[in-house]
Amino acid sequence: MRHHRALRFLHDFSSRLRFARITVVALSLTPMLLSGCAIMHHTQVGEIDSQAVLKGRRFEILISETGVNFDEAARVGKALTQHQQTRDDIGGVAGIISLFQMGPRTGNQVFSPMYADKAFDLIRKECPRGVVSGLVSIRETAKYPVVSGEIVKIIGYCRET
Amino acid sequence: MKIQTSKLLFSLGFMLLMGSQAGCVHLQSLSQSTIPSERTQMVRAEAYRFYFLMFNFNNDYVNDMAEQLANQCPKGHVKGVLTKHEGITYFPIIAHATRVEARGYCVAGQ
Repeated sequence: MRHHRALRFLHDFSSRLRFARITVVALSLTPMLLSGCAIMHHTQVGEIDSQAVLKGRRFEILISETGVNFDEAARVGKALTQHQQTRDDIGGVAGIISLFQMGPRTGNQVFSPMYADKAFDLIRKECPRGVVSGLVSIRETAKYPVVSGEIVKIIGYCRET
Repeated sequence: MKIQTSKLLFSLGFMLLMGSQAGCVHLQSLSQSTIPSERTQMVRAEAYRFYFLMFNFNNDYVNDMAEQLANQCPKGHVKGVLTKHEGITYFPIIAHATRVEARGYCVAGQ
């Protein structure tokens, strides 16, 4: 009887220890996962009016849209279930979606393909009556598990006339 | 047998050493603006970041490229700007870098 209790205690202790280890690893990884990896796809520097850049006002425009990685989502879905049929169904759905997502692209798929169109209006708002120069356009992805921020960043300088 | 093993190890080590020294560079994007007729003074700016284990949390290092170019041509315009963005692999998974280079011509007083 005593031997049985000792074994149960050991079993409980080892499972608690495993849980504590997983918690510590998860907690130490959380800040890393939340901060996200920044991936730069494209950079372009435009023509420069040096007086506008050196004496003008600097502005920064950030446009972003949520991207979804369907492969990662399917993998997470498969890991969450033990049921083989459900796993197969998830794999099938992910396969069908991937057939419609072919072709070259930067970052993950987004739900609105026109999200970057407002860049022109936003630049005009930043500098309504001045010279805009020194535009640096950056296309980047802030990568998190399953989702991502698909970002267009534009840095420019406005010289009021 | 022993000699063969040591030869194999030496060859593998040598290949790894050569591979780590070479590095791979790939072009990620390139853009070029209109080239001016006056092409006497060239200006150049570069932004570089090294990544250990591919961890990178922001791309702010390219933000001041326009200022770098303007500082080299304070009384004119920088035209014909070629922007080259390249990725460098020094050693797979462990050591990577990104380099963005912008080159253009300083055209005085326009």
